[in-house]
Amino acid sequence: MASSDTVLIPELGAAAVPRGRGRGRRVLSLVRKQPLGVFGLAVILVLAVAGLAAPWLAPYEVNDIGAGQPLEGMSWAHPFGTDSSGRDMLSRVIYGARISLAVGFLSVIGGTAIATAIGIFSGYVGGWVDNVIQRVADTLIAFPALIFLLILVTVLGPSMRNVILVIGIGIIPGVSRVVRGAVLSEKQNQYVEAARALGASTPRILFRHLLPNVAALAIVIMTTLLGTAILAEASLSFLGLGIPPPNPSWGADVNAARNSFPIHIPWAFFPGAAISLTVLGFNFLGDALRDLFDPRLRGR
Amino acid sequence: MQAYIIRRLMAAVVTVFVLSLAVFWLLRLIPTDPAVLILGMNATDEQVQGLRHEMGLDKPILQQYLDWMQQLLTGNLGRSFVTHSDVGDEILSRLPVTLELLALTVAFTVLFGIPFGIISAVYQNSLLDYGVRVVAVFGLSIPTFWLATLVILVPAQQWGYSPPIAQTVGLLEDPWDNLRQFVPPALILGLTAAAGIMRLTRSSLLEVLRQDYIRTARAKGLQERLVILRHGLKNSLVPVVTVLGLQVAGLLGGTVIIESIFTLRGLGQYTFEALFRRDFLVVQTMALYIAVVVVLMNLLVDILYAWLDPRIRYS
Amino acid sequence: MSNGNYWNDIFWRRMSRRRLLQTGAAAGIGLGIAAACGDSGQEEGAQQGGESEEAKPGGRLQYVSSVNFDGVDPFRSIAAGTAIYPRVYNSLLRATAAAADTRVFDLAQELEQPDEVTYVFKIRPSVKMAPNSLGAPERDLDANDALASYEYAKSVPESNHGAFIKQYNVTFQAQDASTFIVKTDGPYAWTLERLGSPIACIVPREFIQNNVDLKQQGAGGNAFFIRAYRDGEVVSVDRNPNYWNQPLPYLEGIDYRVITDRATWRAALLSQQVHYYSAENSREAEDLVRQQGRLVYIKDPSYSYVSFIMNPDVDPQYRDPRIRRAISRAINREEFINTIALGDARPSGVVHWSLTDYALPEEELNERYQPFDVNEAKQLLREAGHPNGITIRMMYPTPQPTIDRYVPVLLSQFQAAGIQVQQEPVDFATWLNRYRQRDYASSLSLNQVYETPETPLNWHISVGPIGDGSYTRGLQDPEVDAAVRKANTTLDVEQRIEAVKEAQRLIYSKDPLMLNIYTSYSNILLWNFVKNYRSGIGTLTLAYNDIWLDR
Repeated sequence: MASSDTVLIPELGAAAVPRGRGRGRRVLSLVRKQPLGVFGLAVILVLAVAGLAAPWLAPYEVNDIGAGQPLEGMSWAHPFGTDSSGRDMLSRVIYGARISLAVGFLSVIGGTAIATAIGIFSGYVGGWVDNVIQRVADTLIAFPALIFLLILVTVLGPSMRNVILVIGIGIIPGVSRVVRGAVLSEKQNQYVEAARALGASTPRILFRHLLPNVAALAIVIMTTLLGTAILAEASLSFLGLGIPPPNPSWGADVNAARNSFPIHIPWAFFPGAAISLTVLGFNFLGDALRDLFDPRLRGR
Repeated sequence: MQAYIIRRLMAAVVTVFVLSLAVFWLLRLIPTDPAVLILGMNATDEQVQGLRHEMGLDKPILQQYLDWMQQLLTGNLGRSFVTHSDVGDEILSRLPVTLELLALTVAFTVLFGIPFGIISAVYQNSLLDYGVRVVAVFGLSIPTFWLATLVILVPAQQWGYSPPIAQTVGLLEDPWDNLRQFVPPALILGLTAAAGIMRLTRSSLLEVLRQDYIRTARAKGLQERLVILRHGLKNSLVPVVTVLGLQVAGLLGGTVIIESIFTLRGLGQYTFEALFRRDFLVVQTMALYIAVVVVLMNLLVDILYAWLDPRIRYS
Repeated sequence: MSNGNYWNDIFWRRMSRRRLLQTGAAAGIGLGIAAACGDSGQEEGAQQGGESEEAKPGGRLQYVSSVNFDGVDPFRSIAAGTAIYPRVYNSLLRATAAAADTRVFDLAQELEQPDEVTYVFKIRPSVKMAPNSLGAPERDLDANDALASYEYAKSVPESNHGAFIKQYNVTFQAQDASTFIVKTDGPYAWTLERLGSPIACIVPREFIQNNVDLKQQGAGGNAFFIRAYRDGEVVSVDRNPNYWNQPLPYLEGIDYRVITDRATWRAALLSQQVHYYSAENSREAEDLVRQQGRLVYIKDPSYSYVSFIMNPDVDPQYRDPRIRRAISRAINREEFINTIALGDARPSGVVHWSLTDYALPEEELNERYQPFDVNEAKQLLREAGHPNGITIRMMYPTPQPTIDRYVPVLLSQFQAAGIQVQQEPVDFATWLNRYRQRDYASSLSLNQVYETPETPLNWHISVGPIGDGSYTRGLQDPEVDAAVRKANTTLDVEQRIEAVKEAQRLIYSKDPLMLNIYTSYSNILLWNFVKNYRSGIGTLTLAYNDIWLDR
């Protein structure tokens, strides 16, 4: 679902309940069994390092309009060319990793945390509470995600904090639904029954028993959602409601490039490629994690 | 079953009500005065206050909401202060565009998503499986707006060709031009969605194929292909139908980016424009419309479940 | 003053909207703040296509609006509509300071000025209403229609030109059906430009009596009438068969199509689905002509600009003229022009250069009034007691591709002079709201198209640009107020030009709060079969209905 015009929800059916067993795999066999996953992880690590070390890695200041002439092509001085203000695109792409990853991680971690809490609560308590929560989630899940995000951003105003907030809110309904499903099936398990029989309190069962078992699932979902979140940020930027300039957001840069003529390929290509590569990395990683966590899909 | 549906419908009314109230309230939190936007840069304060009063914006929010509900109950969606057009008429005139885009998109999604999902599952871990999966992940990773820009710009640059722009061509009026207009955006939406459906079909089918009854069927000596198609596929479609249902519901609300790039006069563009113009009436009506559509689609999907998987029984 | 021949040598004007709006629209902003639309320049109005060619009737011009329509109500619509309804309704005449020696008479055919405050218009006979289903008979329009329209504009609080009527206590009188008299309560320099603005439309009085909603429909005595209005897609106007100046218009009609995405617009141009394109800059225009030799490139001065504006009511440090001057000295307009306009623009003073007669000479501005001098800026800050520089807050609308590009340039220039900026990006609607209410410390400001120096000067007076203290309270300086008043009330053109320049010099001596950056060009591309396309005359283009298609 590259289009954030569709829905912000992980693929439900595939996210089966993972078990907390058999995780001790060796790196080597991992590379052999999950080459794409390792590739994804490598991409993410490279980007994360680039983002963290941006001030040292980037050849120019991110908003240095004197870095080069406007719309320069690829050269040794500017491997990714320059934009219409003469800013160095390599530097902007490197700094952009910071923003994209920050938006991705913060929104997804925050959103998933809240969604997991809601999902566990809803699934465990059940009854009418569960019913109400699920009906609201139903509607929010299928509400066109982009329109939902747009309304929220319009209300809050454009800023990095608000973009993170809004994407975080956007993923809550879908994730809480998946987590709830997992809780429902975990609830049938003997260990919960046993804990209850032993007189464990509800919060204790929730946090000591259910949470750890649902956590693996949450991690798988989060990995896939990271890609979705980064695309969502790019889509918001496309519509001009993303992170306000002059911040080096990849989505905003692609959009500035596609709205600027004469067409200048490097300007548009590199931030666009960075988006795709990042999302690709998270998707590969997410797939690998799912295979790893879900024994039923393993090896067959 | 009947009792179940009635119960669901009642819950639906509550959901829709809560959602409409939330959107109504959210919109009024926007720190902007619609009157200022309508009047523009040369307006004096006196003008702004006058228009605010005319639009009812000076009333308490709850009062505004009740006024709106009252108007809705008379079956009248109201007239926009910004465009002076009837909201119901606008929605109706844009619905055909949205519906056609939806139909084609879902068709492409199913056409590419499910067969490749099956192939990938049947030949699990083969080179073919890997190939299909990697392509699908690429499909999930490319921003739609970027792909759409290329699709519209490259043929125009190279051959001076582009689909009909800024005009709505009816399907019956001119089928060829109509398809030239709708197929490219539907393909883009459909292919990216197909990537998700393909992955889902694959994993879902794999799971079903491991179930005992499939083993039994195999043991009985049924042909492999029959096993898959007769037993596996139908059951594995349950989650696929869920996601397709969500997709349909989402598309019924319109797509913002694709409509904007391909200049399709659909509901997404309508909502988006309204949001920018602070045309609250249109945004809240569209939110209400979407909520209704979504709730009904969810119900439909649940009913489909029961048909697809006889083990599911509603009481 | 009258020039009856004008209609004979036939006209048309491209009605491009402000560049700023265009770029804003590309990102999806569908809101216009343009009161008048258009940008153009040279005195005489260049024409595409030789006059010797014989005009072919028929065909539909495919035009483009890069923002969605906000209606075609001649009294209320302020953005895309201002390019359409002037072709539907008449004005008494059309006039603009952007083409000062040209006046195009329309519903009036003659003008007499018995004294400084009185304008007597002789109404043209047989300006006949277009066929319509809106309840106006196909009769000749006369002075009573003009009276009804202006009185209505005065009574509608949100009307386009009501503010001017109220501000100068303009009175109207239909002496008889063929004589219309306009009086101001004192000498006012821009009366004809106001009356001749494309938004000063005259509608048949039946519409006003019957309260006809003109937002999505309309017909009048001008060359076209509205046939179809589809929000977000197209407005189609058709030829008025009753038009008084036959055989005009040659066109069967014009379709104004909404294309908000630049890439899509470009595709539509290249596939000949639309005949008009406004290029991002000269480089793109040249690039397109290289690629498709049958495109014609027309370059026109623009009448708009971006400014940096300070508000001492919120941030008292701007009360110190040394700080204002330091900020002025920190701005490097040449760098702006090179990085944003790709070298294709000129610095703007208080009055932008495209209003040729009224602007101060570029050398005078660069050397004397707004030179770029970082050292002086730092020195001034030191003198003002800030050896380590200052920190300011700056609001700006986003997303606005134009503004988005100004921000990094301005930030780096300010930083070099020791001025740190706390950014306050807000969405366009919020920005407009806060700007109006003077709720900003400083702001980047998108300005409208100004075809007279009146409003650019008014930004510096105590009552602000629209006379009610909105946006800014100016320099709060009686001398400036008096000098601007003098400029706006001097009727003699030569003296007025001097008065406008004197007012600017005075404003500079007080270190203005509003600093205009530069003004660029519109880069129009047309397919070569579009003939008689007038350019270089500002909104006066809309007065010409002789465009035709050679295909």
